[in-house]
Amino acid sequence: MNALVATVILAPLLAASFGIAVRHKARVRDVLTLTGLASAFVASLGIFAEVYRNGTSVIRVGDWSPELGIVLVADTFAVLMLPVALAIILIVELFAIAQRRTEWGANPELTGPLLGVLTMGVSLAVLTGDLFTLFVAFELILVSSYVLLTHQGQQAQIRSGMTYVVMNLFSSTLFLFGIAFVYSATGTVNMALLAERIPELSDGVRLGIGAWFFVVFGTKAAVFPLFSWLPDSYPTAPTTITAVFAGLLTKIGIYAMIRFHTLTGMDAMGPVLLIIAGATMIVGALGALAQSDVKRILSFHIISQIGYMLMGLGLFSAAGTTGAIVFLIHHMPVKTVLFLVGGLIENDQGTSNLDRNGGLAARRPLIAGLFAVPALSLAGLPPFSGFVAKFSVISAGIAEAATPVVVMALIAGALTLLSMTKIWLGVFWGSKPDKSKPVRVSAANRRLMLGATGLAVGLSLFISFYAGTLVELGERAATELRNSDVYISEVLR
Amino acid sequence: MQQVIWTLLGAHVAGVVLAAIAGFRSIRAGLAVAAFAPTITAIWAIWLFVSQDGLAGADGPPTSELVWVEGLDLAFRMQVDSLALLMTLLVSGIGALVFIYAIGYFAPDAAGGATFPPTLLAFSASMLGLVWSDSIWTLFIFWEATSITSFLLVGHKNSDANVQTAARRALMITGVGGLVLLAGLIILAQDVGSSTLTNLAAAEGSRATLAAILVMIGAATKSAQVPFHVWLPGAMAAPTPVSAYLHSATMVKAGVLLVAVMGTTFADVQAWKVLGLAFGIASMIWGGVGALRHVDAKLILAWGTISQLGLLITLLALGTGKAVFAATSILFAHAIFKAGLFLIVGEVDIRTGTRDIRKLGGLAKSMPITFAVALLSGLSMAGAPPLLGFPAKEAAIEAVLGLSGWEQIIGVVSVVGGAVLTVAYTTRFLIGVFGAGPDTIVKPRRLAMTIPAVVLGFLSVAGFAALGLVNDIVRPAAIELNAKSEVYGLVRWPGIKTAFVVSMAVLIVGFALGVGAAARKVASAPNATGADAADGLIDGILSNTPRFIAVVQHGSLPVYLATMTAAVAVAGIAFTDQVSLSHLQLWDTPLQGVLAAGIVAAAAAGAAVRSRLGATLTLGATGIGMSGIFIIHGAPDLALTQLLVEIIVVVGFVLGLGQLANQFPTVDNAWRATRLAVATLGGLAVMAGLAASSANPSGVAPIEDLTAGAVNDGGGNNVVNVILTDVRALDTLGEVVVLATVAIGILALANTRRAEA
Repeated sequence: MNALVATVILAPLLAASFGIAVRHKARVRDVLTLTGLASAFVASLGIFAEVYRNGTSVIRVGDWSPELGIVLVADTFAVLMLPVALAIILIVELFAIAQRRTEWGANPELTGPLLGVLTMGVSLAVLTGDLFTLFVAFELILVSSYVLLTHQGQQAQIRSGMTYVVMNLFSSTLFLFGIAFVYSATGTVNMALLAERIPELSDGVRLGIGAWFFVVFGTKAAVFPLFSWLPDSYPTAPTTITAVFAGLLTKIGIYAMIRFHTLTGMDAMGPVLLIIAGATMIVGALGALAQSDVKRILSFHIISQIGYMLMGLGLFSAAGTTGAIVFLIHHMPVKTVLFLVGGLIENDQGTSNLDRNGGLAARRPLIAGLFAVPALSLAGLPPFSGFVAKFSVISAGIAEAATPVVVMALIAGALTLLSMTKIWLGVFWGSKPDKSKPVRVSAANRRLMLGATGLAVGLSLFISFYAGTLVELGERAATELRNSDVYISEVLR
Repeated sequence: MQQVIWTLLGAHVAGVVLAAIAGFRSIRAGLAVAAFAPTITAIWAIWLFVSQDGLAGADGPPTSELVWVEGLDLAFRMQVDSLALLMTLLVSGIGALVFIYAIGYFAPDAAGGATFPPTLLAFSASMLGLVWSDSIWTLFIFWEATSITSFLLVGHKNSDANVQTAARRALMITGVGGLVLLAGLIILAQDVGSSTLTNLAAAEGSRATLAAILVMIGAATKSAQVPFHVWLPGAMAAPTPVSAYLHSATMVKAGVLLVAVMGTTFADVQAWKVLGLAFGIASMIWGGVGALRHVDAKLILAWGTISQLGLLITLLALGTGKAVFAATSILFAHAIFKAGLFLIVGEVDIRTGTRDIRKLGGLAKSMPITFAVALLSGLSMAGAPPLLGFPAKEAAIEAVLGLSGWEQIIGVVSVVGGAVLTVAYTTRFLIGVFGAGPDTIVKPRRLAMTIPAVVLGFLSVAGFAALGLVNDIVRPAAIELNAKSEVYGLVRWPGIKTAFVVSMAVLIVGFALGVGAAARKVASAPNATGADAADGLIDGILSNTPRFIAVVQHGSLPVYLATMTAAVAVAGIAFTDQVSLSHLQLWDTPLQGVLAAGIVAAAAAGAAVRSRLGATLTLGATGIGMSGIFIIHGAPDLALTQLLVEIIVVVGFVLGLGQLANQFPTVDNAWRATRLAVATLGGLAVMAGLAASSANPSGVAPIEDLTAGAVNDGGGNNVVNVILTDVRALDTLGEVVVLATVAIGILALANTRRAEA
C-alpha cells in the first residue's frame, strides 16, 4: 500500500522533473510523461482494489503520530476520486501529444511536465488527511495550472491568467487564515482530530470556521458569487489545458468541501448551502445560454453543475451526500470529454464560435456522436451517468422536502438542455459556413485525438454502465464521511 | 418466454448498428435493414394473439429485469402484459410498415442514410421499451429516449432554420415536461414506496395531489395537449414517415399510456381528474378547430391528432370502466387510421409536390387507390360504419352517456362536440385533397409507398369485420387498466339506442359543417401564434441572458476581489457570536506592539499611496516588520527567509516597474469608499476569527510532544527545522515543487517574450 501511494504522488513528480530535463527531445519527453501518469493511474487502481476489499487505509508519513505529522488516508471517497482523476489527466495528455503540433495546441515542451506537477497536487489533495497538506496540494495545483494557462504568453491568456491567479492566491491566503483559526481553536490540522474537536467548539466558532472554509473551497469550486474567475480564464487556454481544468480543478474544491464539511459536522450550514447551490445552478445555466462559443458555454456549465453537487452536500442527508459524490465522479470525465470535442470542433472549423460553425453532423458524424453522449449525460438524460447523478440529488432533495432548491434544479436542468441544443444547432446542424480554415493535422494525429476523445467517452460510458456500483460506493463513502467516528478511529488507531 | 424481451430489444440494437452501416451505401438499404427488427417483433405479437395460449400461457406474461442502479431502484423491469402487447402491435406493426413506406418516400440518393434509418429504429426500440416497462423508472428512461430521437428525426432536414426551430421547440416542451414528470414520479415513488407499475398502490393526500398534477402535466406535454400542443404542428417539419409513426401512431400516445396506467393509482385524487378533463376537453375542441382552419393537409391531420389525443385523455380522466374501455379501443383504431392517412398525405406530397389543399385537385381520379384508402381511413376516423372507428366511437358516446351528474353533462357535450368537429375536418380533408379542382400533375406511383397505406386502410375494414378479434386485443388491455371494463365489448350493430342516434346525428351535422368549411376560401394559412409564443419565450431567454450575465460577470478583477472579501466578511459574522477579549493580552513584549504598529502603518500607507513604487516599498516594509516578529518568537531561520523573499520581491517589482505607468489608475470616490469599507470589514472578520477561535479551544497544539519528538525521533534541536525537514517533509517537498514550477513559468514567459522580440 505504501508503495502504491508513493507511486501515485511521486511518479508524476519524477516524470515532471526528468521531463523538464529532456524537454527538447519530443519522443523521450512524451514517453516519460505518459509513463509517469500511467503508473500513477495503475497504482490508483491498486489502491482502489485494496480499499474496496479491506476498507480505509491510513499511512503515516515518516511514521510520525497523527497528532504531530502528516497522514494520508485512502478511504472510499478518495479511491473513487483518484482513478477517475488520473485517468482524465492521462487521456488529456494523449490528446495533447496529438494536438500540440497545431496552432491550438499547448507548448509541447512544458505541458507534459506541468501536467505531472498538477497530477502530484491532485493525488495529494485527494489522499491527504491533513488540512495543511491540503493547502500545499492546492498550491501545487494552482501554480501548475497557472503556468499551463499562461506559458504560451498570449495577451488574452496572460490577462485572464491574472484574474485566475490573483483570485486563487487570495483564496489561498484565506485558506491560511482559516488554518490559523482552526489551529488556535483545536490545536491540530489533522482531519480526524478536527472531526473530533470542531464539533466540540461553541456554535459561533464552529460555524465561523465552516463558513470561512466554505468561502475558501467555494472559490476553488466556483460557486456563486465566487465563480467569476472561471469563465474569464478557462476559455482562453488551449483546449487540452481547459479540458483538464474543467474536469478536475473545481472538482478538487468541491471534493475538499464535501470532505471537510461532512466530517466536521457542519449540518447547520445546510440552508445557506442550499440557497447558494440554487443560485449557482441557475446563474451557471443562464450564463451558458448567454454565450455563443462552445468553450464558453461549457465553462458556464461547470458552474451550474457544481451547484448540483453543492445541493447534494447542503442537504446533509445520507442520500444527499451520496448524490453529491455520484455527481462529482460522473461529472469529471463528461466535462473533460466535452472540452476535448470542443478541440475537435476547433480543428475542423478553425474556431469554436457557434456563428462560424455548422453542418458538422453531416460531415463528421463521429464527432457528433462523441459530443452527443457526454452532452446528453451532462443534460441529465438517461441512460447515462448524468441521469443517475441528477436523479440521486433531486430525489434526495425531494425526500428532505427541500422544495425551492429542487425547483431550481429542475429549472437549471431545462436551461442546460436548451444550451446544449444551442451548441447542437449551431455546430452540428445547419449548413457548412462559407469561410472556414481547418487546422492541418496529420492523419495519425487526428486518429490519436479521436482515440483519446473516444477513451474519455468510454470512461464516461463505463461509469454509466456501472452506475449501480458507483452509487453503492457513493453510499459507502457518504456513510464513512457522515459517521466520522469510524474515520477518526481508523486514522488515530 | 423470459429471453424473448432481450432477444427482441437486442435485435433492435443490432439493427441500429447494421442500419447505420448499410445506410452509408444508401438510405434505402439502411431502411430495409432497419425494417427487420420491427417486423419480427410484430410477427411475434400477432402470433401471441392468434395462438391458443397467448399471454395466459403456462409461464404467464413475459417479464424481465435488469437492475441498473440498485441503490436508487433504477432497473430495466419489463413485462409484456395485454396492454403492452396491444401497443407492441402498433409500435412494431406500424413501424414495419413505415420503414417499408420510407423506402419509397426517400429518393435513392437522399442524404442522411447513415443517420436517419438507425435513429428511426432507435426510436422504435425506445418506444417498445416504454410500452413494455413495468417500472416507472424504466418508463421514464425510455420516455426521455423517445424525446431525444424525436428531436433528431424532426431535425432531419436541418439545413432549414425553420426545421431547427421546430425541432428545438419540440425538444424543449417535451424535455421540460420530462423534468416535471420526473419530479412527479419521484414524489409518487417515495409516497407509495414502490416503483413497480403492476399493482402500484393507490396514492392519496397532498403529496399524491402534487404528484398527480406533475405527472399529468408531463403526460400532457408528450401527448400535445393544449396549451403544450404547439410543438406538434411544428414537428410536421419531419419527413412524413416520421410524422406518421412518431407524431400520430406511437410517441404522442406515450402520455395517454401514462395517464392510463396511472389511472388506478390516482383514482382518488380529485386534481388528477379535473386537470385531465381540462387538458383533454380543451385539446379535443381546439384541435378540432385547428384542423378546420389549416390548409396544409399534413397540418390538418396533426391538429386532428391533438383533438383525438384530447378525447383519449378525457375518457381516461373520467376513468369509468366503460370510458377506459372506449379509450383503449379508440387508441387502437386511431393509430391505424391516422397512420394510414399520414402515409397518404406523404404520397400525395411526393407525387404532386404539394400538400396545400387549395392547390390539389382531381386526385380522386388520378390517384384512385390512394383515394380509396383515404376514404376508408377517413371514414373510420369520422366514426362511420362499417369501419373500425365506428364501434370505438360508439363506445365513447355510450361511456359518457352512462355517467351521472356534472360529469355526464361535461362529458357528453365535449365528446359529442369533439366528434362533430372530427367528422367536419375529415370531410374537409377528403374534399380538399381529393375533391374537384384544377387537375394537379401527378407523378408515377411508388409501390413501396402504396402497399403500407393499403394495408392500413384494409385494417380499418377488416377490424370491423373481425370485431371479435379486436375485442380480444382491446378488452384484456382495458381490464388491466380498470377491472370494470370486463363487461364491455365492441358491438358491430348496436341497434337503435340513444348512442346510435347521437352518433348518426354527429355524422350528419359534422358532414354538413365539413362541406361548408371546405367551400370556404382560405386566403392564407393561419398564424402559428402558440408556436411563435413558445419560440419567443426561448429566444427571449437566449437574448436576455447576456445582459443578465454582464451584471454578475463584468470582468473586473477588483470587483471580484471585493465580492470575495465581502463573502469573507459575511462568513466572519458567525465569529462575532463568541468574540471575547478577556483571554487576549496586548503583547508579550512591547517590541511586538512597536512592530505591529509599524506593519499597520505600512499597510495603510500601501493602500493610500498613488505611485506604484511607493506601494512596492510599503509592501516590503510590512514584510520586514513580519520578519521582526519572527525574530521575537525565536525563529531566526524563518525571519531570514522572509527577509530574503521581501528583498527579492521588492527588487523584482522595481525592475519591472519600468514597464508600467508610475501611478495607479484613478478610481472614483464611491468605488474607493466601497473598497475601503469592504476591506475593513474583511479585516475585522479576520480579527474576529482569531479572537473567537482562541477563546475556548477544544484542543491545544502538542508543543511539548513536538519538541520532545524533534529531539528524540527527529534528531535535531531546532524544532522548526525538524518540522520542515522531517515531521512535515511532504509539505516542504510540495512547496519546493511549487517554487520550481513558478520558476519554470517565469522562464517560459520570458522565452516567449524574447521570441516575440
